[in-house]
Formats: sequence, structure tokens, C-alpha cells
Amino acid sequence: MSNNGDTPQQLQRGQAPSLIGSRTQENLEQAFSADAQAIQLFGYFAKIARIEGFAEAARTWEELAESQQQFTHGHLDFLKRVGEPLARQRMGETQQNLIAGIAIEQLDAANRLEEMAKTAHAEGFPDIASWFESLSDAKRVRIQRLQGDLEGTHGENR
Amino acid sequence: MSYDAGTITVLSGLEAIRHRPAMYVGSTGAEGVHHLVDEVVQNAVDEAMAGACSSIVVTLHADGSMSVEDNGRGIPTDAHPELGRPACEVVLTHVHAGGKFGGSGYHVAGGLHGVGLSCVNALSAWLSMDTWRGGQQHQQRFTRGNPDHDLKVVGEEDRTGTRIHFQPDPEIFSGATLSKSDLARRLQEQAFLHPGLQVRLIDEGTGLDQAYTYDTGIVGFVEHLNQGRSPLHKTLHLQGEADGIQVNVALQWTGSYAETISSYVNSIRTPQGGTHHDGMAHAITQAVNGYALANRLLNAEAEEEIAGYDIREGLTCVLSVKMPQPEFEGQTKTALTSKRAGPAVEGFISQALTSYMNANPSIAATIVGKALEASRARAAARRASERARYQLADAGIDKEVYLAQFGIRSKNWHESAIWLTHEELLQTHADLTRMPSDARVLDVCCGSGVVGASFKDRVGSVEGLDLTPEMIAMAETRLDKVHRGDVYDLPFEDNSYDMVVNREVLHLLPRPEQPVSEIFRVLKPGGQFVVGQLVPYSAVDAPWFFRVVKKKQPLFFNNFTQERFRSLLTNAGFEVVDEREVLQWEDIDLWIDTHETPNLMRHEIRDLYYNAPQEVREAHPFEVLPNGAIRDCWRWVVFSAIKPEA
Repeated sequence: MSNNGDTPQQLQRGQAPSLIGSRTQENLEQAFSADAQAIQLFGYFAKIARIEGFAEAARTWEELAESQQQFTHGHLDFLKRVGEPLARQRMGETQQNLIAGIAIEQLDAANRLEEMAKTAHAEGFPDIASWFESLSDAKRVRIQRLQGDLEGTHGENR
Repeated sequence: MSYDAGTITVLSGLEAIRHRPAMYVGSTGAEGVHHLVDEVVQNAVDEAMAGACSSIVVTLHADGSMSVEDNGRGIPTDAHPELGRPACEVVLTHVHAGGKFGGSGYHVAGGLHGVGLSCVNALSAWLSMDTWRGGQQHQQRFTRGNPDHDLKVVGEEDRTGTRIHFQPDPEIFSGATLSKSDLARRLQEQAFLHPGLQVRLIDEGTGLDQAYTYDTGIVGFVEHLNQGRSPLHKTLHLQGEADGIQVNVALQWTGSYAETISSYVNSIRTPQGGTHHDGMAHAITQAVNGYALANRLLNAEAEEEIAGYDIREGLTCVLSVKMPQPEFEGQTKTALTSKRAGPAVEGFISQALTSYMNANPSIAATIVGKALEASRARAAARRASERARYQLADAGIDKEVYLAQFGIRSKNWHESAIWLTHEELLQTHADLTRMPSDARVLDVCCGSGVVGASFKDRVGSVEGLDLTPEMIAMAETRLDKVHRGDVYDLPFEDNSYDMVVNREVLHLLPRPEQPVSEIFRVLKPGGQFVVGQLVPYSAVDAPWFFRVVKKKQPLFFNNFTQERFRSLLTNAGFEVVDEREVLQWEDIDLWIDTHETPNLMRHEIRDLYYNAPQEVREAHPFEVLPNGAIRDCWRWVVFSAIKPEA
């Protein structure tokens, strides 16, 4: 993605900085990815703590996940200037976001997950392969739903 | 009634309830109606807890109204000091009014923080209150919370008590019907919680008149819950007080796998538990580990410890605490949040249970033994799926894993799920038969043989095949002949059978293509394969369904949707000629109460239902009952496939 090396891009006098292709874009995407993963991890930990009867710990995980949501949305506030990081589509307004969403799900359903299922079969993990296949099926259905919503936004504009 | 400033306050309080009823009673469906009855019953139970009431009668009237009558002290009729209206009218028309606000009337109480009766009144089309005090019967009637008239004396009677008769407002609870069995269970619960109290349920519509009264208290309650299970010891009863909180707990472990814990605060059920429940859970974990360590039942050097959820496997327990001013999560009190209840309950139970175990070493050994068994079974379940996976990488599948798992399950095979012997499901398989009446049929992975047996009056002979000696012995009582063998390598010549039948097996087998092609091989050209499979409703609930089933059964390898299962058959050369759906409601507790599902996983499965995403709820019908029990509607598809003529 980036054409930058190890050093940050040098700004000439009077030149406006561009986020596209910058180290900072890359860093925002990395921070977004790490923080988004942490939210899911904390939510998972919270469920386990609830089941094991540690209500205080569960609340801590839930509240951390909730604040962390602010972090990831903050990253996206900047990233929307350059586009979403998963399928590299423009993002911002609902119509753009729906197009991005369809691209993301298509990328996942059609390519990534089916490849993952094949690999899992080849490596002798049939249950994990079946899990990826289930996700691939579910994502195909989502594409239809997103496409319906997208048509709805066209209607609004007319 | 005069129209003045005081009146405005009264009405605005009740209007708020009518405006957002779900905030006060949880929902405007059946659950909400249950809350109304519970609320009135709870007021009577509060009288019983204060030692002033020995009988509660709940009547479901033929017109859909309901009444609750007790022989308590009767709601006071004297003028309220600030409002100058009869106290009983204030209780029914003022939010946050009543005898439970720091007054001396009750030490502990369960009513809805005083929103109680006024809330019921606000949500009733009409309500009639009778209170017997001082030799007189007083009466007042209300419409949607507003008094129709002032309190009046309607008779002389030498008794005390209260009767609240009300009609849930159809404008709010449209079409909601109360579950009578659920109501009966809740009333029975109260009778157990208050030994000596008689609780009666009368249903005018059906003529039912059932009285519940028990002297055995929560010990009897635990034994009632354990009916049909095999108790491992006599019920433990621990009772005492810590930090001003009365703790009363009865515990009994059984040979079952399910964990059944019912907790109460001031006689109110807390289905989501809370601090008292968590405190007890920690106490049990501490006491059992402490005892096991002190008595060298654990490996101290390896810092071996038994997890709480393993200890609670097979535990049936009723915990009842009584405390002043409890705090709850939400108005409908699903969980206790009072912080001090946690350490108080934990401290008391930990100490009391430890003393009990020290004084009763044989019961203690039973409890520790059961916990260690659960702990080992969980480790074994994890290994089972890992081992099957590992083995598959080179040769075939590790039959030992299947032998072990289905060998154990065979002991209570037909009790392990309703669907196993479900008539409609068996009938659907048999109805698909296209073969002549002299056909030779093979029931592959036949289990107890019920599926094959359902074909017997339509065909010539039904043989079975299974892996485990336990299953073969069972199937031999139903089928003409049972072979021992393996579906990956069927011990039969090509073109041997007219028909092969199978149900609910292929999802457990890695590389299901091989068994399907084996079945294809042993069928004669033109022969038929009838196979039933539990499947998700669509691709939408498939990932959620995967997680539910995988947590129940570690040997779950293939999450077939209807489409994927069809492809499995057609890819093997079959022509699919029919597909029939059978839907079937089942209580999931039965389904997950087996040795293959570790206790922690049972909790995770429940959590998956409680927190199922909206998309899944729309795709996959299931219901969560007010007591937290879950019923799922399984979706079966029975496929009929033909091996084409050469």
C-alpha cells in the first residue's frame, strides 16, 4: 500500500501534507486494527468472567471495551479522509459506506474465507473448515441485504 | 374525589407507568402479566415473611381477571399522615408509597420498591381492593388507576386480610396470555420458600384447585427439583446470618450433568443471579478445593485446582437470602447488585460448608470425586476433538474416540434428546420409502436401531451397522441383524442393499464424502438412501448454530446447511428426489445434559441463546422462558436420494 520507507515523508515548505500513502495512514490503520481486535477480546473475556461469577471483572472488561469503541471510531474519523482499510473503498456517507460494505463482504465471502476453508481441509482441520464455510455462506446473504439498502439510498436521492 | 394539586401528582405518577409499562414490568407481553400477578403475590408473601399470614389464594377468574387473597394484617385504612387519604388508597395510587420505605412495618420485603401495587393498578382496566381490618371489610374500586369512589365499608367480619382483584388492561397487554404452568411453578416455589405457608391456585376456567404447602422448606425444594435424577448424597442444609444478611442454602449433587441453581432475595427469584449467587459460587469453589487440598485429593506440587464450573456440574441448589434494602439490576429484579451481599454470603457458606465437609468425610469425598470426574471429563472432551483431528491428518479416523463417547452415551441414549424417539421424525423417514416390500435395508450407524425399526413394516428386512458393542446390543433388540463395522469402510459387497437409511451421523464425521460414497457403493443401482440431518434454518443462523452445536458436541465437524448437505449427496452421484422438513421444539437442558458437554460449555450455550443477534432471532425460532429455561425449535431435513441405474 505505502510507498514510504522507514522515514516519515518530508514536507516541503508551504506544501499541504497528504494523509494518503503516509506512514501516519499506515499507523492509523494499525492502531484501528489493534484496538478493534482488543474490543472483541475484552468482550469475550467479559462473557467468561460472567459465567465464572466474577461480576466485577466482567464489568471492567465491558467498560474497557465500551471506551475502546471511542478509540476505534476516532481512528476512523481520520481514516475516512483516505478510505476504509479493509477493501480500500471510499467511506464517509451512507451510500459510499454501503458500497464499501458490499466490497468488504465480497472480498471475505468470495475469496478469503473459501481459501481459508480449503487450507483448513488440507491441513486436517475439518471443523475449522466447516466454520469458515458457514461464515462464507452467511456473508453472501449479507451482500444481498446491503445491496437492498444501497438501492434504498438511490431512491432517497431521486 | 376532589381535583386539586395532590391529585395531579398522583395521576402523573401512574400515567408515567402507563406510558412506559415495559420499564416497570419488563414487557407488555405474557411476561408483563406475570409481573403483575407476582407483584400482588409478593405483597402477600411479604406478610408471610413478617409472620402475619399463613394462606394465599390466587384465582384465575373465567373473565380473564385474577385475584390474590391473603389472611395477613390487611392494608391499613387509616388516613395517611401527609396526604390525608386512606393509606390503602395511597398505596394503590402513589408511586413509591407503601410500608416498605424505612418504616417499621417490614424488616425485609420483596415488593417492587413501592412501585408495586400502584403499578398493578395503573396497568389494570379495573382493580378492586378489599381489606379486612378492625372487624370491618373495606372496599375500593379503581379504573386504570383512578378511584371510582372513596374507600367504603361493605360489611362486618371478624378476620383480617387483603384481596386484590384486577383485570390486566387489554389496551396495554393486548393478546398476552399468562402461562398457567409457569404461575403454578412460581406459587409452588413460594410454598417451598415459606414452610407452613399454604399457597392455593384456583383456575375457574378448568376447575383446577391446587394447594401447595410444605414443611420441608428449601431442602424439600431441592429434592423436588431433583426428582428423576440420582442424588449422590443426602441434601446439605446450611443456614445462618452474616453482616445482617440471613443466608439459607440447600445443596445436593446428583449423577446428572446439569447445574441447577435457583437464587432468591427476600423471596424474589433472581434468574440472572447477582452478588449473592456469585458469592455462593466462589464459596463452594473455595470450600471444595480447600477440603480436597487438605485431604490430599489434589496434587499440591502441581498446584492442581478444580475449576468452579467443574465443581458445580450436577449441582442442584436453592439459595435464599433475606436482607434489608436490597438493590437490583432494573425494575424487574433479574439480578441482585447489593455489593455487601457477595462477601457476606461467600464468608458464611465457605465456612459452613468447610465445617460440614470436615464433619461428614464420606459426603465430602463424594462431592470432591464428582468434581474431579467433571474436571477430567472436560479435559477428555477437549482431547477427543484434538485427537480425532490429529489422527485424521494421516490415516483414517480414530475409532477409539467414537467408541468412548458413544459407548458412555448409550447408557441413557433415548433420554439424551427427545428427537431420538420422536414419532413424527421417524415417520417422516419411513414415509419416504420408495422401495418394494421385500427390500433389503441397511441402517448405517444404527445407534439403538429406532430409525431402521421404523421401516420394518414397509420392507423385507432391516439390518444395522454400528461401531460400539453397547449400541449393537441395543439395536439387536429392534433389527433383524446387526453388523459391527465402520462407515468409512463398509464390510459389504458392492450393490448389496436396496436401501440405506441413516440419521444425524454425517455431521460428526470428518471427510463425510467417504462414508457417503461407501453408502453409494453398497446400494444396488436404483437403490434409495434416506438420511435425516439437523440443519440450521439458513446461512444467517449457520455460524451461530455452529457455535451452539460445537460447544455441545466436540466431535461436531460439519455444519451442513440444507444446500451443503444436498451437494454432499449429489457430489457422490446421488439424485436427490425429495426433501422434507420436520420442526421440533425441545428444552435444550435435556440436550446439553450429557457427559459430552462440559459444564462451562453449557453456560456458554445458554449465553449464545440469551444474547443471540437479532438476525439470528429472526431466522431461527427459540424461546427463553421467564425462569431462564431455553426451548429451541430444531429443524430437521430428511433427504431421499436415488443411486441412478447404471
